[in-house]
Amino acid sequence: MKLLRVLLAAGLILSARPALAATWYEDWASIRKAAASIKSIETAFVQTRTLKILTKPLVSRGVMDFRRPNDLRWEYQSPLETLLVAKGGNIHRLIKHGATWVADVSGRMEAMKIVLGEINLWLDGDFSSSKTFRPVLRPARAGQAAHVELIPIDPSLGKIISRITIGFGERPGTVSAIDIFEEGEGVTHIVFENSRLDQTIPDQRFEPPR
Amino acid sequence: MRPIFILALLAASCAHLPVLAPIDASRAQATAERCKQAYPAQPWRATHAIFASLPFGQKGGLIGVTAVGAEGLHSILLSPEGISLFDGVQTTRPVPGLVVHRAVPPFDRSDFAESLMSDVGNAFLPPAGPPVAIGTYKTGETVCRWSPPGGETTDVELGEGGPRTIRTYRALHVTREILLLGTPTSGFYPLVVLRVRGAGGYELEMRLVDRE
Repeated sequence: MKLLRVLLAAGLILSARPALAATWYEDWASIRKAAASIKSIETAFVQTRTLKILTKPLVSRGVMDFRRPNDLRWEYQSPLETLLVAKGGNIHRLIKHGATWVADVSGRMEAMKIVLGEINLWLDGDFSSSKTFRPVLRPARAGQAAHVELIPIDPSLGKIISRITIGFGERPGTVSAIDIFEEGEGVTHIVFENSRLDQTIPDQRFEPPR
Repeated sequence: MRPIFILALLAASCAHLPVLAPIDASRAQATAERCKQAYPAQPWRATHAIFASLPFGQKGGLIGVTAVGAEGLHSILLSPEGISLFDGVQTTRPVPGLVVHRAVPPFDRSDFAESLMSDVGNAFLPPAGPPVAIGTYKTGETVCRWSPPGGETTDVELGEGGPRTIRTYRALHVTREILLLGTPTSGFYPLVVLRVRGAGGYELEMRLVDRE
């Protein structure tokens, strides 16, 4: 009887625990479905880049706006003011000089053009459509949350960016962080904060400033 | 073609470094010390936001991270997204040389590393030794001049508040003009503007973000 009581008690305790909630990122289909439920995202981000030669990390700040299906604003506000806007397939890159935005036509590294071009896909939950990265869904492990790992398909890109990881947000369909790993030890860590979902974002946020 | 050739010859024959009228010897030492304030005391590390105006009207932005110490000059260029585009060290010891750890296109051109190190070195590293001449331009500005054998000549021009302009000359022609703008702290100016003239000329506006 004593053993039975113990087992019953144990059973009660186990049943009293909430069943593990099914995550929205168990498979690609779930991820796409969850992402499709988000119509727009307005969020700030903090980008941290550590370098061996600096004792303090280099911190950049900015804002990102996304509107389904593929309108994007990716704006760095410090230390360098740069802007990428994409609307209806038209992409503009600008850099602020004094009080004026000017076209950034410096032939920015191709690899970063690729990454910025891929962000729309990530926010759309559509990792498998990428022609640039091979996506791998990594389930949560001890000490590491579930995430998508993107591995460059082209070896020449792999020499610049070895892999990218994308962490899932608590809210279904959202991304919490992006890590860009370079060959060697360099890592750029981007964390999103103060996100607002499903607000109406005016068209001009996705157009070059006039 | 002939008139152009003659003009070129005339230009070459007229080219010379700006003449310096000597200053009072009693002021020379203090003036040399003021000129050296154009450069931060070593060792140091600094981060700059760089706005680049390139040939054909192209504009671009980069983050520059520089460290200077006994081992030499370490320079890293990052894209705004944090990706390292260039990482190189101009060593001073044990053997002087240039080591490129990373250079991704378009920063992998054969002459880019050397040119970048010259830009950074001219802007932030003091010429070796004492100035060979201290004097004033015809226009009145006080100048310290370094002129190592076989190397570039460097003029540091003083304004009322301290160093204001660095000019480098090679074969008697200005190769770089570096404007030191704002009130410096420990030799770090809030804004340094580097200009390279000529057909492939460019301008770099380097705004100080942080220093260690």
